[in-house]
Order: sequence, then structure tokens, then C-alpha cells
Amino acid sequence: MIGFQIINILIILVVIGLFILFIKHAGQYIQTRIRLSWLLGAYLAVLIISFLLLNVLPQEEIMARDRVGEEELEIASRAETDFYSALEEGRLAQLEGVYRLRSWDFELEEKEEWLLIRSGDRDTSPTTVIINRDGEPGRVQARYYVTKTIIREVEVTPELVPPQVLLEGNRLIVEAPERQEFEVASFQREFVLRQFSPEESEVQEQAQPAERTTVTTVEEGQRIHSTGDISVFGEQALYLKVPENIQIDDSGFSKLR
Amino acid sequence: MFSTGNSLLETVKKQYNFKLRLYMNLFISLVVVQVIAILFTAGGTGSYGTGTGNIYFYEKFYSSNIIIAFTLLWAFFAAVLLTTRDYRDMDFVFIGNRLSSNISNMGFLVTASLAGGFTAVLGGVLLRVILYYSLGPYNILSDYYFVSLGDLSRAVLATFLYLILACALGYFCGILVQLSKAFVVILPALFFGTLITVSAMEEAHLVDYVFNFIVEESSFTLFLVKVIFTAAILFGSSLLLSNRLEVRK
Repeated sequence: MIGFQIINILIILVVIGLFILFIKHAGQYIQTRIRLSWLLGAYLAVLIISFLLLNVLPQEEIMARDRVGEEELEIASRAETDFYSALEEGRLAQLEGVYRLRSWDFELEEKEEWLLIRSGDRDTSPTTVIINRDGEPGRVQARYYVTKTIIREVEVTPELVPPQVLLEGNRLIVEAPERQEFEVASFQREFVLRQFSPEESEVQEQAQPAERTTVTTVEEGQRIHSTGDISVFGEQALYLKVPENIQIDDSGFSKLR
Repeated sequence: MFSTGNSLLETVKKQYNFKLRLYMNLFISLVVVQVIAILFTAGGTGSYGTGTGNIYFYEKFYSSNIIIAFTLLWAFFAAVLLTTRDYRDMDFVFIGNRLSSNISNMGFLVTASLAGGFTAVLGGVLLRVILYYSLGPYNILSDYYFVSLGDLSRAVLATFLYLILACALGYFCGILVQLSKAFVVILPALFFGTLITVSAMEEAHLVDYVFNFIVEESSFTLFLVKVIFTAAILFGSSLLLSNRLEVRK
């Protein structure tokens, strides 16, 4: 432990030594090539122009993907909780915060008596499938529903990729989408400003999730604070309408309800 | 001490103007230090990832705190450098005394702090613009992205005050080292020793109180008063110690 600290201190001392040497001699090397005042002027000009530029950047573009409010989070949370019951009871249309991402319609050949539901090659995160036996004869309808997906208060629902669904003979193949990654950049207020707004400072400290390991799912009625660590991952399901006279074999498909 | 017709103020003014031109290399090092800090910060200052199933969310944090911190370091060492023999010898181009030299140095450091404060905060703005073009607007959340003129002014002022403190501390340390070379060892030992001791202690420590005296102050007016008060003590002590230095050499 002490050895480690000594090494750290030595490294810091070396860095500081280099820093001092650099500050002392930086100008001398540059001076021989270009006029210092020009260099300083150019740097200052770049900084001032960047401030002017920042104020004329299209704000709407930056605000296109932004943190949502408390209301949106509550809608997402309710939709997540009620999703399956609403789906099974056929009242999805009444549930706010549910979206149909994609739909498919397949014609079954008359001779087919079986429908084999299979997952595709990518089965790392199989799709949840719900089957309704009230389908029209000779037709299989598939609808992919999702509830609002809000991660760290950023809604990503419109960007969710649905699974691939295809019918090959009597085999309905459901291929889960590839791993989807969302990347966002967020700015934190400078400590020189945060210091003078203590409430904001508290919020930002909470928003720094370095020591947080859990992701909170908002429960109904729970007050949501704007801390940036609230996530509602939502639910997704493939809803199949299959005619009653068709036998279903779902062996090998793990996520079937 | 002063030649006929030359008041202390005039000498200080002349020395100050002279130093502004002569010490321009310090401003170049400021630019380089800030550019390095901007490059460091452009990679993000932290990140957080979370996910479920096949959805993964990755948030990268950006802030100009590193640019300000680098500028604080620069201010500290620039102030130390002004107390070294090389820089002190330059003062003898003008007729003056230790007092005029110190006051002109302090004047220079205040100017350097203002320049440092202004450029450090604008460096954060430059970082935002760079990220706009490198990441694309859609991937940037608007929280604290835009900087109003009011916020910019407040940040520049607060950074300027922090830089004055760093300069005052650096100048004081520099004078101590000039007084006795033993401080070259004592000061770093004191600094790192305190760091290690404080990190090992769970309870609040005297260092915490001293640190929080400035850093935890949420009223800007009080912060201003505290900074002026502390800087005045440090610069005042440097002046007094510097007179002892004159007697010795």
C-alpha cells in the first residue's frame, strides 16, 4: 500500500517537474518559428468564434433526443406494468405508452395443419411471443408491440429495432434483433458554477452514477426526481394471431407465453 | 531607493508593462496546457453504461473541469516561476526595488489569472463545438450544453478568483523556496503527507475545513471576500518574506 503510494507520488512529481520545465521553456521554442502574439491572437479568436458558433447552432437538433419529464416516465412505468395483462385482455389500444413497431401478415397454405414457431440463429435474447387463437382461417398475423423504453431519462423507443419474422412453409421464424447500442453525450456544469447553486450540485452528484449499480424502475405513484438515473426498460412482445384449427409446435422456442 | 521623479506607482506600472511583453512565453504555455486539456477532455471525463436484453445504453460525461484544473496548475507553477532567480534578475532592467518588483509581479499574475479564467471557460465552449461536429447533434443531450452570456461571465469570474488563489499560493511557495532551498523538499513532503493522511482519515480534518472554506462557499459575495482575504494574506506574507530575502542576499 505504502509502496503503491510512493510510486504514485513519484509519478506525480515527475509530471509536475515536466510541467514546470514545459511552462518555463514553452515559449522559447515557439518564439523561433512564429510570432507569439499571433499565436495568442489566433487562439483567442478561435475561442471567441466558438462561443458565437455555439449560440447559433440549431438548438432543436440537440434537443431532439433529450431527457424526458416526470410525466413521460410515469406513462412508461404504467405501460410496462400493465402491458401483458392489457395484451391478453385485448385492451392495448387503451393503454398509453404502447407502440406497434411493426406488423406482418402471412398466408398459410391450405394443407398446413401445423405451425412450427422457431427462433432464429441469434437467440441471445429471444423475443417474447404471445399467441391468440382467434386468427382468421389461413392467415397468421404478427404484431410487434413495445412500451416506452426510457433509459436514464432518455427515450429510445422510436429507435428500437423489431425482430425479423418470416414464414418458410409452416415454419414461423422469429429472429431477435442484434444487440442495439445507444450512445449519448451529456455535459456537466463546471464546478465553478455548480458551487454557487447547491441544489443543482446535489442533483448532479446523484446523476453521477459511478457508485450506483442498480437501475431504478419507477413504480406507480412513486415520485420521480430528475437525477438522470431513472430507467424504464419497457416490455416488448410479438403478438401472434393464429387460426384455431392449426396446431402449434413451439419446441425450441423458450420465450412463449 | 527610487530615482528622482519616479514614484513607486510609475515604476510598478513600467515594470508591469515590461513583464507583460517579456513573460509572453508563459501565455504560450497556457495555450498549450489548455489545448492538451481540451484534447484530454474530448474523450470524456466519465461514462456510465446500463442495459437489458439486447439493449445497451452508454452515456459519456463531458465537462470543462479538467481544462480549469489544468489552468489552475499552470497558474500555480507560473507564479512559482516568477519568484525564481532567472525571472527576478529581469527586474533589474528597471530601476526599482523588491517592493515594486513584487507588486508588478502580482499585477502580472492578476492579469494572467484573468486571461486564464477567460480562456479556460471558453475552452469548455470550444469543446462543446468540437463535440457537436464530431459526435453529431443527435447524440448530445442539451443539459448544460448551451452556455448563456450570464453563465459565461459568472464562470469566468469564479475561475479568475480561483486562479488568483492558485497564483497567490504559488507565489508564496516560490518565495519560501527562495528563502531556503529546504522548502523544495519540505513543501512537497507536506503536501503529499497531508494528502495521504487525509485520505486515510474518515473524520473531517483541519485540511477539510481549510479546503471547504473556499470550495464549499455557496454565496458568491462571501466567496469573493474569502478569496480576496486569502490572496491578500498570501501575497502580503510573500512581500514580507521577500524583504527578508533582500536582506539575506
